[in-house]
Amino acid sequence: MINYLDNAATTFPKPQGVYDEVYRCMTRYCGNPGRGSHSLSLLAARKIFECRSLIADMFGVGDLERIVFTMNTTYALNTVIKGLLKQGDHVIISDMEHNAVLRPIWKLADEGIIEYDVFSTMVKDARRSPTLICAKIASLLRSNTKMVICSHASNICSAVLPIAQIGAFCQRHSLLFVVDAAQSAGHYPISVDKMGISALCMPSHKGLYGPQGGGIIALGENIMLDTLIEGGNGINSLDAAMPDFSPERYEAGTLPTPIIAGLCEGLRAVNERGIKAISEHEASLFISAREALCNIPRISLYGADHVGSTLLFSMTGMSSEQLASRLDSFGICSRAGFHCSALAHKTLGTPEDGAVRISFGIFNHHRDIDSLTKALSVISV
Amino acid sequence: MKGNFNECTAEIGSVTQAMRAQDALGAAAIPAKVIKTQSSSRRGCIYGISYSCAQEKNVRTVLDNVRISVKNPRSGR
Repeated sequence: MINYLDNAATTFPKPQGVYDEVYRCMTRYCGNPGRGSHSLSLLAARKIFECRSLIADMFGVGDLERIVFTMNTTYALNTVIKGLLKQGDHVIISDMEHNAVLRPIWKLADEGIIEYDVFSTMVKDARRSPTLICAKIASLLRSNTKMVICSHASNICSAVLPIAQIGAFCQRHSLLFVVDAAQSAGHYPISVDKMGISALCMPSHKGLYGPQGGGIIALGENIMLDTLIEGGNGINSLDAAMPDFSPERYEAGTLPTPIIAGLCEGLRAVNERGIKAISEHEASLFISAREALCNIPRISLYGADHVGSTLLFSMTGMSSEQLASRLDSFGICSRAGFHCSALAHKTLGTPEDGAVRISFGIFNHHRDIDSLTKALSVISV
Repeated sequence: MKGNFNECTAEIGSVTQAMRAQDALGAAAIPAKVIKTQSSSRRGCIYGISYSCAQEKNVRTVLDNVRISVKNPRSGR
């Protein structure tokens, strides 16, 4: 029996409705959306429209035309970062960023196009953390600072950044605010318009329970990007230039209709359970796991004072990959290493070979924690 | 623009905009269909809507209210 605790990588399983809708799409209405005028093309386009509408409602976006589909969160972040930054701009990113942010930023800096600084998210007084974090960002501001980028929720621990306060700070300073919601979409409430977010980037296949192969950009009001790629989108085909309106400006090539159809049902499943209930369920599992792991010899936890869906740990005398492999022999799916987040691992001070991450989803139960605890107890002897 | 004897069409833009127009009109109890047509600005294909010509004035009002601009509007002929 599989005990799946790698939901931060991708949620598994998916709600039954997701599988059913992907199949229904593939077998009944999967025309090319936004291309033809025949019934299957329009049915596919209608499903995509429906999905944009669900996303706009869930993430507080006043206009569904600001919902853009991409291949994944990394693609979404690259589209936003490279579509907004220009020669000479300065960017501030957090010390919890995934490589989906760090690598495009580093490359632009390496090419001499931009400069960037990293702000620390570690504060001792948790009650004052929004104020202290904004003060840290403020201390890095320059006259050419254009953008602040941060992960909403870390992908290696359950730390959550105060994006509402950072968004307000960015608005006061006329800065663009880009949020990587790869680990928070579907786990925490987010409102693009109320939080002053310029671009929110997120995946289909994690907390929104859709299939892999889909990413989303939710754009703030009046945000216009340069395009990352260009190509056909079914309209104004005689124009050499991409259209100047969203979302089609950013969606060159055929959209993955079956993935988006499945995502629709994932969004519905999240809405049915409620984001607050999901968050509470995951927090309950986290607290149980943290308590249990604290009592197992040789286990060290990282960033575990933050309660959420993700718990990071290591075992003295065993590499993270060895530990994950041993857990796998007990049927437990976890993730070892650096989780594409060297910056965040450095921030948390994990061992030189990284750590093991477990992450919860809506289909996990407390018995999964019992199984994990038993396995780790055996491994630790 | 008049198509059939009682059917008017309006150019909108993308399929997303056309569907938003269709939904806004549906909410106002004005039936409309999404159509694809050659744009009158000769830039290639474009999506639009078709509706009863009797609703022409109401259609313009509803679309104005939801900030959907009808491109190259033409009266019936």
